[in-house]
This record gives sequence, C-alpha cells and structure tokens, in this order.
Amino acid sequence: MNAIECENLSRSFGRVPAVQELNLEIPAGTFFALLGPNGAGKSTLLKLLLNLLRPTSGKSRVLGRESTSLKAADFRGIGYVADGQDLPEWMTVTQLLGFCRPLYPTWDQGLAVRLQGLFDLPGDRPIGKLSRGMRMKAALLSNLSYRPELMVLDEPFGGLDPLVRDDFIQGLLELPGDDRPRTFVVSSHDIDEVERLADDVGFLAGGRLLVHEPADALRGRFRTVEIVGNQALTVPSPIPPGWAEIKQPAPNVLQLVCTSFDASLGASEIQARFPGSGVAVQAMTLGEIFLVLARAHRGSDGKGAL
Amino acid sequence: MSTVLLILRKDLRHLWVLASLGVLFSLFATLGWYWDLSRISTSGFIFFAGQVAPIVVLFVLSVAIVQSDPTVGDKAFWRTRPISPGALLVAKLLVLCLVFALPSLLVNLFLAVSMDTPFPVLLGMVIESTGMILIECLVSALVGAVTRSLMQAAAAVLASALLLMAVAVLNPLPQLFVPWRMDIPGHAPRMAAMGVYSGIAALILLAHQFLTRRWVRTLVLLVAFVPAVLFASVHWPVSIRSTSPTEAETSAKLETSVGVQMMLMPPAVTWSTSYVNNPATGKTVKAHTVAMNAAMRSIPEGRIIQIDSITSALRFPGGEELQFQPIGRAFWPYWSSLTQATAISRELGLAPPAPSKEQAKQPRLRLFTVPNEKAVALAGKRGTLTVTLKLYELAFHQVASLPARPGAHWTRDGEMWRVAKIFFEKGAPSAVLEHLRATSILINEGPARPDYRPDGYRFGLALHNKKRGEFALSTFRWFSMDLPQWTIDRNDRIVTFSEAWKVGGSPVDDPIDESWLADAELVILSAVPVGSFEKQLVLENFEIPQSEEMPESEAAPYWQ
Amino acid sequence: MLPFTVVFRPGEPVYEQVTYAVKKAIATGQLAPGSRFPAVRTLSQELRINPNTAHKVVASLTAEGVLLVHPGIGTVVAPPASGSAADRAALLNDELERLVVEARRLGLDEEKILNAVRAHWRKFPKET
Repeated sequence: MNAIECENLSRSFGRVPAVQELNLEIPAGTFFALLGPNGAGKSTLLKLLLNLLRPTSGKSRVLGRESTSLKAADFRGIGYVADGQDLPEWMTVTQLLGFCRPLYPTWDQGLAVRLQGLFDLPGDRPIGKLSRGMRMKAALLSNLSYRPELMVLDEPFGGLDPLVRDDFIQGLLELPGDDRPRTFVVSSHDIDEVERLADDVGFLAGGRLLVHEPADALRGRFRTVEIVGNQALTVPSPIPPGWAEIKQPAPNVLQLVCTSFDASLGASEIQARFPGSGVAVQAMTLGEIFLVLARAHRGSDGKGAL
Repeated sequence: MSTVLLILRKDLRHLWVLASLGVLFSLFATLGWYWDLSRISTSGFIFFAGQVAPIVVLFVLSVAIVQSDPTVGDKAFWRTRPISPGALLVAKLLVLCLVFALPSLLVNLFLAVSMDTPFPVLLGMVIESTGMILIECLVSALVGAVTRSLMQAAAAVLASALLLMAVAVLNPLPQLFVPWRMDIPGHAPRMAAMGVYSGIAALILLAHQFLTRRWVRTLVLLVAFVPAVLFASVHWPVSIRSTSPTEAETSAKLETSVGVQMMLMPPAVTWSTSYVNNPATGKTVKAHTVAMNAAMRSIPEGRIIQIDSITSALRFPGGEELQFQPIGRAFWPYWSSLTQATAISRELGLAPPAPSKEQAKQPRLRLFTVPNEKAVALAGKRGTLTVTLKLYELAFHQVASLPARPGAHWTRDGEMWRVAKIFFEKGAPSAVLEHLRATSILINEGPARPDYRPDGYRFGLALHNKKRGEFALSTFRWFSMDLPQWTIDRNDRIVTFSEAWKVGGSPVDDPIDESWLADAELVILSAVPVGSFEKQLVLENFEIPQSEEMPESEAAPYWQ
Repeated sequence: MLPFTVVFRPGEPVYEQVTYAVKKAIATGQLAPGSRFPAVRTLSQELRINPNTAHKVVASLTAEGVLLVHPGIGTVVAPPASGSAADRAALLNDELERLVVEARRLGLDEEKILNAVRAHWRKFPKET
C-alpha cells in the first residue's frame, strides 16, 4: 500500500510552474526525505498532497484517498507541521491540546504529557508569546499525540537551535506505538539531522523530481575521489560516466565526485585508468550528496541525469 | 455534532469581547429603532448612516468572529485538522445567532407582545426578524469564511453589491430594488433586502468556488442558485396566513346623487403647455392642455368626493373617434377644513358646523391633453366630446381614541398609536404621534393598492373636549417619517391642531391651552373609500380650441 | 542506555554499521552471551535511527543466529556459535579474501599483515 502517490501532478502560480508533472510513490512505513534547493517546489508539493493547494493538472493520493477530496475525517490519521502555519496565537499549549484531543480517536494523552515534558513546553503561556522553537515544538506535539499514520513535516528545523532539533527528532522517534506502519515525509535543507532516519530520498529541483532512490543506494553510489599521481594527470576523454565536479588543484592531483561508484569493484576501476597513482575514495553524507545534486542542477538548467 | 460544540465553546471563551460587543450592539440597534434614538435626524447623511451603520457593524463583527479561525489560504491551521468546513461554519453561525439574533428576537418579541399583536402576525414577525438577521449573519459568515481579511471581505461585498445593482438597473424584473415606486407591497423593501443579501452570498460563493478551481460546484451554483435567488425575490411564494384589510365601517353612505356639471366659465377654455409622454414615439413632447372650468354641484355638506379617473373621447360625424389618454387618480384633491370638520363631526356624532356662506372653490378639471400637431390637424372639426368621470367618496372612520397627554397609547391587534409629546406653538397645540404596525412578510396582506395620498388625506386627527363641547382639527405638517418597513412598521407624525370648533360649528373663542387638553381625548380617524360611481358628460359640437398665443402662466391646475 | 556504542560514519548504510557494531560488541565482550538485547524501539530512540532500520538490524541478526528471540523473555544475545572450527572459519572466507587482496594492493607482505591481525586480535578479551 502506498502512503502517497502522485500522477503527473502539476501546479503553476500564474505563468511560473512550481511543480511539473511529478510522479512519485511512497510506500507506507517509509521515512522519505525530500531534498531540494530553495524554490524547488517542496512546500508546494506537500501542500498539494494535503489539499492546501489545488493542482493545475494531475492527481495525487494520500493514504489511498484523492487529495482533492480529502474529508475532515481523513485528517485523523495525518499530521502536518510547517513553518509559517497560523497557530492560534491566543491559545495556550494546554488549551490547544485540550481542543485537539476530542478530534482524534487515537489520541494518546500519556504520550502527549510525556512529550510536553520532553519538549519542556510551558502549559499556560499563549502560543503567541512562545519563541519560534517552542512554537514548532507545540505544533509537533499537537500532531504527534494522536500517532498519525502519515506525518508530513515541511522545513521543520529552519532556524531552530540544535537542542530543539534534538527534541524534535526525539519526538519523532516516539511516534510508533504499535505495529501499524508510520510514514514520514520530511522536507528539509538540513539533511544531516535526518540522515540516519531516512529510508528513501527524493531530490526536487525546478519542480521536477530528479532523483528518487533509497538512501542507502544513494550513499552507496556517491564517492569523492582524489587521485594523486607522481606526474601530471590528464582527465580522460571522453569523461567517464558518473564523473562530476572534476577539479585539478595541481597538475598531478585530480579531485572529482563519482556518482556511479560500484562498491564491489571498489576503486580498482579508477585505479586502472591511472596506473601508479594513489586513489583515495571517501563516502559522502547525504548533505554533501545534496550539494552536488543542487550544484549540478543549477549548472545544467535541469538537464542531465545524475 | 460534538465538533460543532467544541468549536462553539472555544469561540465563546476566546471571543467573549467581540461577542459582548455584538450583544450590546444588537440590543442597542433593535431598541434604538423603536424609541427616540431613531429621531436624531430625519434626512440626509445621519439618517442614511443610521440605516446603514447597523448592517455595517453586524458585518464587521461577524467577519471578525468568523475570521478568528481562518479557513482559507494554505497557512490555515485548521485545514489539516479533522474539522470539516461545514462544522466550522455551523459553529460560527451558532455564535452569531447567540450574539445577534437572540437579543434582537427577544426585543422584537417583547415589543410585539406589548402591542397586542395577534398570534399569526406575531409568529410571522418572529420568524421574519430572526430570519433577516440570520441571513445577514449567514452572508457575513460566508464572506468571512472565504476571504482572508476584513479588507478582502468588504471588497468582495462591495463588488457583489455593485454587480447586483447593475443587474437590477438593466433588468426590468427586480423592480423591487427601486425604492420610490409606490405600487408595490409593503414588505417589498424587506424582500429586496433579502434578495440582495442572498445575491451577494451567492456571488461570493460562486467566485470562491471558481477561484479555488472547483469547476463542478461553480457550474452548479451558476446554473441553479443565482437565478433562483432572483426569482424568489420577485415572487415571494411563502405566506403563512392571508388577511385582507378589514372593510371600514362608517356611518357614511355612498351618495350617488352627486351631480357634476360642466360649466364653462371665463376664460372658457384655456390651454397651457405641459409635457407629456407621447406613447407613439416614447418621447416627451409639449402638448396642448385643454382645461375647462367645471364645478361639482349638489354635493351635500361634509361629503368628500374625489376623482379616480377622467376618460375622454371625441367622436366626429364621419365616425372617426379620438380616444384621449385617461387621466388617473392623482394627488391631493383639496377639500376645505370646513368639509373635513363636517365629515369628522358627522362620524363622531357631533353636530356639524354651519355651512359656509362663501362659494366653494371650484376645482378646475383638466379633461385631456393633446399634442400640438394633432390639435392643429383637427382645427375646426366639430364632434361630440364624451367625458366619463369615475368618482369615489371618502368618509372618516374612527379608529382609536386615547387621552391627549404624552405617554398615552392605544393598541389593538398589533397596531399602536402613541402620543410622544405635546407642545404649544403659536397658540395651537402640536402633537408628536408614533404609529406602529406589526407586520410580517409571511402574512399576505392582499394585493398592493397604490395610495398616492399623503397623510393629511388618509387620516383625520381631532382633539375632542367633551366637557366643553369643542374639538380641534389637525393640519398635518409635512413631517412624516416613514422608516423603511420592518417587522414593526413605524411612522411618526407631527400634527398641529390649529383649527378649533365648537360643536355646532362656530369657531372657538379662546385658544386652546393645557387645561383644555387635560379634558381632551385624541381621536384618530382614517379616511376610507366608501364606494365609487361614474358620471358621464356629453358635450355636442365640441371643437378643440386653437391659438397662437401662449397664455400667461397661471395657477397650475391640481389635476394632471 | 545501550550496552554498546556506535560511531556513525558517513556514507555507509546505517543498517550495516549498526549490525557491525553489535557484532563487534559481542566480540569485545561488551555484550555477553545470554544478556538481554534492547528492544527495537529503544534501539531506534537511543541511536536515533529509523525504527524500520532498527527492526531490520534485529531481524537480520536474529536470522544470522547472533540474537535469539525467546517468547516471553525478549531478545537475548546468542551463545557463541557451535560447529567445527573449520566450518566457522569458512564463514569468514569472503572477508579473508578481501583482506588479502587489499593488503597485497597496498603492498603489504604476508608477515606485516599477520602482525597487524595479531595486534587487533589482542585488543579483545580472551575467548572463554
């Protein structure tokens, strides 16, 4: 069962396309990290999924139901946290929880209390008077407490200090309370926070999904390579497939990113091209991979596969 | 259902400031409507503002209450919660009802009960007044729900209202929006108001569905709802009871022996220019107006005979016949205060005043109008002029009597007369009277009867001092504040009782003072048509007069 | 608190790193055979990894026989593998081959690599 499906989903704002013919499937129980540069359309995509925006064309389905016909009851199993949401300023955290509780049959008051303690949120101060980090925590709290099947977070870590981010992740990890699969969709620049949690990664740029694969596979095929030779090195021509960001800081040093690294072959294939040179291969974090992808997109104007 | 209650509880707790303001405002507006607060000014900007201000305040408060929980926009917090927009709207409406409709309903109820209103009218009033406020609240709530700020809401309403006005002006159907027409039922303004509100709501809903790309709903709304609203505002189908105005009983009997003789008095025939609508061309043209001096004879003293219409036709020997445009019932056929005094005293069972020695003024009758070209074409031709006069008689019928002091009131069946104030001016007493009538659009009061008569010719007011055997008649000042008809139709009048008579007819010696008033009662009579009849005049050898000279301007004939 | 630590390195699959860390912990004696192994949920929260991943770790370790699931008690560390030394050595065939290939590529001779092996071996407590 797919938690999320998109079929040629498109949305434009006037002439500007924000999301273009997006096709995506996220199985239930996956932790999906949605990466992309600013303006890539990540927020738009998430809003389209939850019927906060309506598509110009195409369809999307969430937990089996069409996004455009999501009813109030469907939101009982969906949580949504985004920066810039209009939280009711006058309500205190306690009042907010008290208001939300009867709306959700799966509300776990014990979890709510525990999380409120974990997040260190004061119960009787109006939300309008809380700091940004506390507001995000309050929003998260009001979403986690009913253990939704689908949790959507749109740039949740923006501007939050590391302690708050820590609390956030901790809260997310508290979520699964039973054997039902829980799907997470997190869009972020700050990928390092969720590096360990992500099952699948999607890279969105210019409204298009350029990369969509499991995190492990992505980490598996990206490597930084440094070749140090005892004489001047020449870049092979034609450029081998998968090589990107080739730099030559010195005549005998080549640095590049290899995007199609095969772990079983190791560095031997590269070594073969430069006999007698030292080849150092290093794995990359998802954050570094994201940078490579973003730079490539910017440079190529959306063309070229990575 | 529980979601609705949840939101209701939250709103009342959070919005108690707005809610209290709303309740106070609602009470103030409804009460102020019926008491002296509404008399700040009778015309101009303040008055207009007094009509518009309540609607604006209600709108602003309603939108504020609704928009405290935004439901539009992609940042709205509640859109990703299991709260259906329907439930939210219902909860908001309940808040609005409690805040606006309930106080107004209670006030209306209280007033109607104090006016002794019969039950069906009471029920109709309650339903209507609550319904009107509910519709205003509903429209405001709808507008607030689909817009993001008060500014947007106001702009949307203004735009829809302008659009509706444009439609109304261009479309002959909804003529009810035109306030100066007099031949429409009394509740038409309220119908129009409901139509306007519903139209605004429909338009804004339509726009919202369109802008949020819900094409199917847009289409459905466009095809079904908007015409339905327009239709309903024209043909109001609902009536919970029919009443017909009670035929007035009066002791007067129709006098058909009234003779009307056409007397040519010098100058026998006059003409003047007037501007008439030429039905052939639709243009307004100058016309010959033939007027002949005529007098009505054999009218018994104190009888009031009025003319309903004059139809003339000129038949020539060759068989050619010229039909003139009928001249319809129109404005004030004057009758003297002596005549009025006689009519009233007859009704009150008092001896009428002595007949006057002076010759009764003879009203000039204008028989027909003919355009210049036609008159010239018919120069010299003689034919038979047949004039058919439809006449009716008015008699005074006593409606109520109440003590002549401030605060006195009289109620019956949902109608109330109340003396607000009595003051003296130039030696004559003046009274400020309030006349209230409970009505409801749900009570069908029969077909509309156009009534061009001003108050002086619909009511007679007399101060009757039984102890002294004297009575005073009113002349109406033209101060009649007709407020737009609501469930309690209110008309205020200032009358001056400047002519006093002794019973038996002679004028009173001393001016009326307060001690006189202490023993007096105010009698309210209404002038009702007693019956109608026809008289026909035939003039042989009649020729349309011609002349090149235009006459001096003269007293404009009262008849049109 | 977990009875073992994991230092995450970028680039490698999380699941593999955790699995390796568990095995290493057993080898160093940090995890004693028969001792209770943390629940999936605890593992996920303490290590800050995806609960699915934690589940996968436990499942594969159980499949390999490193952990045992006792109904009612929970997950425990399995006693050392039985079977002949030759059989068990055969399990390490791939790793050994890889080690030798890498060593030769780096230009190490047999003695150097054997010394290195010994050095690492001595880091761990003696077998019982």
